[in-house]
Amino acid sequence: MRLHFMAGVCALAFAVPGNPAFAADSVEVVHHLTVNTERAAIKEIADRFTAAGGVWVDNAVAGPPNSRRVYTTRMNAGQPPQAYLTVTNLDHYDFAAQGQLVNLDSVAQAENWAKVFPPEIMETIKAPDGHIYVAPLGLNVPGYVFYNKKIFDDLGIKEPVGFDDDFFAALDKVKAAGIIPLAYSGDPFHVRFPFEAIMMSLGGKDLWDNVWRQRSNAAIRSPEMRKVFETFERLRDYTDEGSSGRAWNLSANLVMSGKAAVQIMGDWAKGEYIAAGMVPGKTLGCFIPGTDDLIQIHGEVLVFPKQPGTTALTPAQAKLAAIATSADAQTAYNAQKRSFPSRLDANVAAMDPCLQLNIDAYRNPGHIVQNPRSLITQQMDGEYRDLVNEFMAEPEMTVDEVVDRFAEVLQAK
Amino acid sequence: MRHLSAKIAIAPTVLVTLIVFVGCLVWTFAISFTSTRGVPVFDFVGLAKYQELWASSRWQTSFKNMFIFGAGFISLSLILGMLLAVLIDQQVRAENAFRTIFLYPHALSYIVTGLAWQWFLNPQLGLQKFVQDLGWSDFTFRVLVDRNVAIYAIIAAAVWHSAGLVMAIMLAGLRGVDDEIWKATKVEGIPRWRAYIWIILPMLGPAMTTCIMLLAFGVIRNYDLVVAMTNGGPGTATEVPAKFVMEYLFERQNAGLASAAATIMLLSVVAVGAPVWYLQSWRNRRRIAGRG
Repeated sequence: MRLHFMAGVCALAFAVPGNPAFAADSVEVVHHLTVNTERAAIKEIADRFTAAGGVWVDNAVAGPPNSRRVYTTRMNAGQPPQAYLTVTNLDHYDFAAQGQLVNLDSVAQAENWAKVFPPEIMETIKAPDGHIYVAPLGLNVPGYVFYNKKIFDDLGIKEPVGFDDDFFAALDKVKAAGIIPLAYSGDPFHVRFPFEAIMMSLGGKDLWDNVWRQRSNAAIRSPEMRKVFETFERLRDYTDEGSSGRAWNLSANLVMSGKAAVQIMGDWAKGEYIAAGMVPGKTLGCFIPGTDDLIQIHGEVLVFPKQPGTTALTPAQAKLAAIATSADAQTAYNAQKRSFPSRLDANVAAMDPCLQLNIDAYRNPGHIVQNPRSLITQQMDGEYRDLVNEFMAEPEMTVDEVVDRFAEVLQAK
Repeated sequence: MRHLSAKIAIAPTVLVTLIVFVGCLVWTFAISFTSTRGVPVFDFVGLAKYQELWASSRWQTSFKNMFIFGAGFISLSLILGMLLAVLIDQQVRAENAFRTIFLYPHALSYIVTGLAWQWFLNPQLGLQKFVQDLGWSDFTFRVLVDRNVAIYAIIAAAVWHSAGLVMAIMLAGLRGVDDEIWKATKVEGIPRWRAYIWIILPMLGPAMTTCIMLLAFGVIRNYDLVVAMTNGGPGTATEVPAKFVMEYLFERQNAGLASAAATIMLLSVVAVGAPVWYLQSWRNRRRIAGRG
């Protein structure tokens, strides 16, 4: 009796749980689209995939850093998901070098990606070995300026163009009226939005390329870059006490309720503003800072890990890649998510005025710049953001000091 | 074989401890000598990662903060917990109610604690605004946004969370004190507070050691409280080593650096814990030798 009991316990203990066997055309997608608008957006793609005969297995993890942890550990553990969604970055370089991804050359060929995506996008989705590993979905503009139009109209302020004196003059007027000029969120994640927006608008394409791509010492120590840091520091006088570590939606709340006037954030914040009842163009003002209207490539992309037992795309993966990048799916996905399609020929007639600004700039050749995260490693990116965050929080830090440390962080050549 | 069933029963635990704890520890230590970024690569680069680590100003701040936080947190928790235990030991009415109230914060997760304290200390939402609305418009309470003082705010939140636990453990120890001892102090005419400090407290050595160990684990593990309260800010004023390791391991894809940081954390624990442990075992040996 006791022997049978022990045997039973041992059998239970050693029963191999194993990987649930997925059907050949099922795709498990790890993604971070958990907010309402985002869920509706990814559902559009899931529905189209299901309609085409695929099985969509959803694995939503809140927050890009957390979803990155999930797919990184899964891939290292040998149980990779069939696809994962991430934001523009260089992760696929490392993974591709280790042979953990399947390339999408066949899909790109069949769907003629070289014609429907601008050359800058084509550059981002390849790895150093020349193969394509990434399927671009929608794009957002990270350094977007939102402002409460009612406050501006009441104070008689015209929409500023960039971060020159007209911007600070406008902020001065707001400050004099007793309203918080800039709803700033002070932590390493959010600091890149105002900083990179200032850098793009003041320095233009050349400075951007020289600093992020070439990482040239001369560019980092140039007067233009110093001006970027100085302008960024000027913002400090227009922020409020509670800005340290404040989440972006709380800062957006200040602008919505009229307690603050301006927020510099990615244009995905528009969903929150619209949900609060603000109307782009009427009560909500929006503009891309700077006269060049530069668009940084920042958006969601789908990447496909190699599945055990095969070195090519599974039919399900190929189907998903084709569907996600089709014009119809991109229009639907981006309409829900309030971003704009990376495909040049997707139908955008129904998108709101703020988005139309972005789309006009994007479809006009010469306005697209690479995302720093496509050019520098995650560590350099994190460290530069730490540095800029520290710079903003420490008035004693001089511009010389921060330029020196910036050169160190980027390992300037 | 003697105690065969006992050995079989404990075998899985021993195996798990060996493989998971010791094995992973050795693996982490090994990785800290490689140039691993996102995917493990076993090339030997010597102490390069450690040099990179100590050159990082963020790590230096984190390391310093670990000691500031540790000293403040452990000492304040012990003092406050001890005080609460002594007060409750005075045979007060509604003793159960008090004990429950003081122990309640420990039931909350660090994330909830951190968030609640952040709202409380936020200049625009919390205490400062409240007192200003009451009329004292000059009142400022900018503890959380001042770089020099923010770490003390985190200590306060952590002490609030853990003082109850120290109180519970000390109370159990106090209740274990023989009534004869109390009678003896009364006969000798020693005032109560003197009795507590010079006689009763030294008897609580084991309970105190337990508390210090639990609190020390809390110090090393401190990640979610910092993330919830300040996310390392303002600037890098409240960075802690655990947060450094987590960020460099996952987001910044530099597992070699994160492993080096984790190894340093382990060495700090050993450096502080080993002398204490040796002192205890030396005392024990002396006591046993003295008796025998």
